[in-house]
Amino acid sequence: MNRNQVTCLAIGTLIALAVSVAQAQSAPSASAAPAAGAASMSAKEARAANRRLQKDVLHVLARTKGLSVSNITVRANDGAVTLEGAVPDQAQIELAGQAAANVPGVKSVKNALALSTF
Amino acid sequence: MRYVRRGICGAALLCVAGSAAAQSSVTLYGVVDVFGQYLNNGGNASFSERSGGNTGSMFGLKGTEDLGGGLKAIFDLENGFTANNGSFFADSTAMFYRQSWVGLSNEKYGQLTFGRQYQPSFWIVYPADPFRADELLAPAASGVLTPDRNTLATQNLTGRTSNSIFYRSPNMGGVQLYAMYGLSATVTQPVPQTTGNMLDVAASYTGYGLYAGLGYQYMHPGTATYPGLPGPLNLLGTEHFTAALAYRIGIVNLQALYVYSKPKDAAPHSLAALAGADHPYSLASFGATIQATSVDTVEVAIQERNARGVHDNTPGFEIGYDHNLSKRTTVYMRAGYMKNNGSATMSWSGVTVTGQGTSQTLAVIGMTHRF
Repeated sequence: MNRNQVTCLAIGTLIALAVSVAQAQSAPSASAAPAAGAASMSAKEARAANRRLQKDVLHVLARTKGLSVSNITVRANDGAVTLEGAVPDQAQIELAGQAAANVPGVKSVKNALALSTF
Repeated sequence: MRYVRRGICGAALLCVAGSAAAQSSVTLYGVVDVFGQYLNNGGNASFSERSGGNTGSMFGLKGTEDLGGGLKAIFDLENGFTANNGSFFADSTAMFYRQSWVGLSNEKYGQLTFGRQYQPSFWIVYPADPFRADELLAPAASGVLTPDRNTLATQNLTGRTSNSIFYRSPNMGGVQLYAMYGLSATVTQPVPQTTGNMLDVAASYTGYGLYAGLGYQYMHPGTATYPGLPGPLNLLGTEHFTAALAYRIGIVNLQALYVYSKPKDAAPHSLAALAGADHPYSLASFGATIQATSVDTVEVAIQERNARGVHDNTPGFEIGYDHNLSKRTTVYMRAGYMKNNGSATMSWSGVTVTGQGTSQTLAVIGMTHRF
């Protein structure tokens, strides 16, 4: 194997790893969502709704003035949103929590943000 | 009695209003970071204690003063140090090596600041590096800063610039623009060096889980004095092209980075030309940051540094794990491998390789605390 093949292989493995972790993570939230309320929703619809809400929250955070979003991860499960990752100061932790709470469809916010440099 | 009370209330309110109009604040902040390192440097194994594996140790003072009408005066003074031995970081003559600037900030028009500051190209890179451009253990930062005899006259993307003017636009629907002009600077550490003026412009977009950034920097020629060379080395005018991309899929943030540094042709018979130190180089990195749980983060990156026109390249990978004990305190691990091919001499920043073409293996465990 030459070097390029090794590099390709490594990239492939990395993508597979990332995708499998992402799927493993979304599986429990999907099964929990219908039980939490939306009885009429199928598991697939609930998953899609969670993904939509996650994107909406991310987008609102990205447009929030004075907030550094590059290290923020958002989880959404039937309107319950969790903020994870890190922002540069305490004021931004609170700012992110407030901004997320105001997104339509968000029922509760669990703020688990830590502190980072930028 | 009621009037007296009202009077006191009114006076108190007036005082509050007065202080609000000229409200100012100063914040002391910092990071203390120490780690234990195992390094296999071309077959020579060693253990050491170092500082700044997750984030560079620092303390700083930053402040704002409200000037009214949406205008603020802002400043930041930030010292870098090594917590393992209490020394200054990188340059023992610089009190505020990391940042020192003052300027104006306006909600509508952005901010304009003067001093020693991060470059636009740095702001572009930061969100696309799983190891957050840490000066010691991020492979991307090590790749840019590595001493390499084939690219010694090609100037590096240093991240910070002294004597600079920096404009940063407000966040306009996810778009941000950055521009900087720096005037010539002279330093004595790590080697005596004079850099020319520099121009840096960049733009980024953030939204819907996507991050994209582009940067362009031109550094005018300079000189540097390296031990072992017959005389001062002419540093060539160098263009840096930077592209950065990140995309979030659930808890995974995929990140990619590309930097190409291209020097102008060296004058014939100049030391840069005679020493063959005038090669361009590129750095490509692909990785991910995975938020495994609320308190656990996994970072992975593969990258290659490649000097053009000569057999000199270094593929490598690094994995990292961060566990937050609290909002402020984190324990972390890093492990990585780099393979130097041809005349490549790359390692993690601060490590001098034992010879050309040697492989490097690193494993560290450390803790970092923020205040």
